[in-house]
Amino acid sequence: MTLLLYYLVLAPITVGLTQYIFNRPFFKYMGLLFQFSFIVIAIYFFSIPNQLFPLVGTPLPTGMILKVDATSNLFLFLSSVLFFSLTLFSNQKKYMNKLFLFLFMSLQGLINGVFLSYDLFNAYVLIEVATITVSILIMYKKDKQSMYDGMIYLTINMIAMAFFLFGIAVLYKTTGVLDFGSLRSAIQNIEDTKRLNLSFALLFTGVSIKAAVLPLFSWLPKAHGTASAPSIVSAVLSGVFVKIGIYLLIRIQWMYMPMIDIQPLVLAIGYLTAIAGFIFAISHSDIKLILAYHTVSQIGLILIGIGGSMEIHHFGALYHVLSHGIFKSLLFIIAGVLIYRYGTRKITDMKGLWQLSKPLSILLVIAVFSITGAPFFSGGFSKYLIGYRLDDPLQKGLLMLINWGTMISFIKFFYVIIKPLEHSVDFFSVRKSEFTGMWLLAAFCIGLGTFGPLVLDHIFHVQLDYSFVDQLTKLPAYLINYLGCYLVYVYIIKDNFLLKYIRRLELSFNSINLAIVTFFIFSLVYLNQ
Amino acid sequence: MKDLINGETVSICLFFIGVYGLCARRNILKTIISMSIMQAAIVLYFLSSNYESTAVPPIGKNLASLERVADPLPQALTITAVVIGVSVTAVCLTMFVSMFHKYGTTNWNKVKKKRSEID
Repeated sequence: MTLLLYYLVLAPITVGLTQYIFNRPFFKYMGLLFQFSFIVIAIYFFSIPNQLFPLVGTPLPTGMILKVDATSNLFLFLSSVLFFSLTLFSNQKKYMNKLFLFLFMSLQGLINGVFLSYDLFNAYVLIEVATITVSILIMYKKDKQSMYDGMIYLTINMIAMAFFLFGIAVLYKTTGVLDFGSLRSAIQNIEDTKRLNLSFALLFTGVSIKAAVLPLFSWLPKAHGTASAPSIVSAVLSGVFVKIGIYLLIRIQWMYMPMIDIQPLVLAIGYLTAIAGFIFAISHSDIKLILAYHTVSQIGLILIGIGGSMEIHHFGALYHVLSHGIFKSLLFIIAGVLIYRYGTRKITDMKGLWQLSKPLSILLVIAVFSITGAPFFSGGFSKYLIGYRLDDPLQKGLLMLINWGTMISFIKFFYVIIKPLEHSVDFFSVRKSEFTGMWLLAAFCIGLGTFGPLVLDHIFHVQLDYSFVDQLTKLPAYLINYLGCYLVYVYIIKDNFLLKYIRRLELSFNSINLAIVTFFIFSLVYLNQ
Repeated sequence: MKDLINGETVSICLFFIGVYGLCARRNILKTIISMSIMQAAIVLYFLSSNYESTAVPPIGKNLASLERVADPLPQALTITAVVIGVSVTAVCLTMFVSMFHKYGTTNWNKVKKKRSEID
């Protein structure tokens, strides 16, 4: 059993390295085989939750362990599914050379390591190395724009990790331990909670930058929407890498409970982030930037779930992590295909997809239905869980607003399919391997939505009374909402002069840092109240 | 006053001097220097966190007979943090060099302006 966990962290790195040294096409297929095995292991772990595996002989708190529980396994499953389908998608691509594969597979090992490690310092080291790998991947094609994007990404994330490490240092001084379990019990024994505030504020700031919440998300659209990185890198970044921040936030919140309770703060930040994300997404017409800003919006939605009052909201947030990771990756790789075929990044210049490729249009519709929360699709089910039995009319209204925002910003994607072609495009066919990867992700989008209650029961052992018929009854409301959003888009939002100003809003490097300091001081003041 | 000048307060001050550098300087090289200052501050904090002047280093056998042994964990963590800090600085500098070749400036704002002209 312990070997399995070592395998999850070390096998991708070793396989990547072997590919790099021997550089034979055969190893590409070997890599796929290994990646399939990670999915099988993750599914197996769902049946045996809460396993601890020692890395050294000494027991905790002095030893080191890897741990897999329902939460970490969900993230592990997400990363395995994404890496498998993305490798399948890009198997025949030109950029899949030995260096790219080595970096890509090492990233998988490092991400798996973060989700399995049970102490803060190990997580810090793994994230730091993963961040360097990611910034090399962002700059992969070495063109002019990506240099700035990669540099901003690297510096801001390093600053985030500096805050995080300082938080670990302060926490170590207060408690003398580093693993999650011992920290939780040590924190509960501290009588004066004010002693915990500094460490919490530092950790919270670091994690919030990583998770890209308002006002710290300026680095994300640059990095995730960069023109130079292959679309599978954007897919991994938006799909799973940004979720590391969410994962650590969940862990840190669990550790400090009940001494420090920041549920209301998380909830407020969640709503603000979600709203800011879709406003920026509506204002842009660059297809990758729309998707990148939407990641910010969906992160906000996940935070709303984490800050929710009922346990089911919390499960909803985790379920949304899974479903968002999958549909956003699908959207990103479809965007990559479209950019390559149409030769432009402007979504308004892409037309007549239905005439050019019907399967691709269907895939795009599946992904858009998922992100806008249609019944029978993964996003619909997770959004239902996040808003489960909310009584507060304000919260209900805000959730509705966020949903409308998402619907409005994806109307442009329907235009891509429906609008007639004006001039002929050299739209050569999509490869079979590319389609296999995309169909796999699309199948997950539908499966996680239609069989949502079953999957939820399997992962978290929560029974939910939400039948097929319940989903069906939600369909008319969804369609009416979409019609309303369409009218709002056509008559109010489209060509609105305000959008131009919003589009131009971009923080400089110094302003981003100022935002970080403000966020840190604000959280410290909030805690000291 | 004398009590205030210890490893912890100095490291907290150093950390925020680094943060000030990030907020106030536009030069990319100075940004990298500020990040190194923050790293150094964290290292100092780790080392001084459980410091006792009478403690003996935990080296060799018969440690059980000693009354006060220094905490070895911060040192182990620090060495890792130092290695990571150095490699991160190296990567940042390499990226800075190639970015300088493309944009020809060391100023964040000028780079940002040139970047937005490309879009």
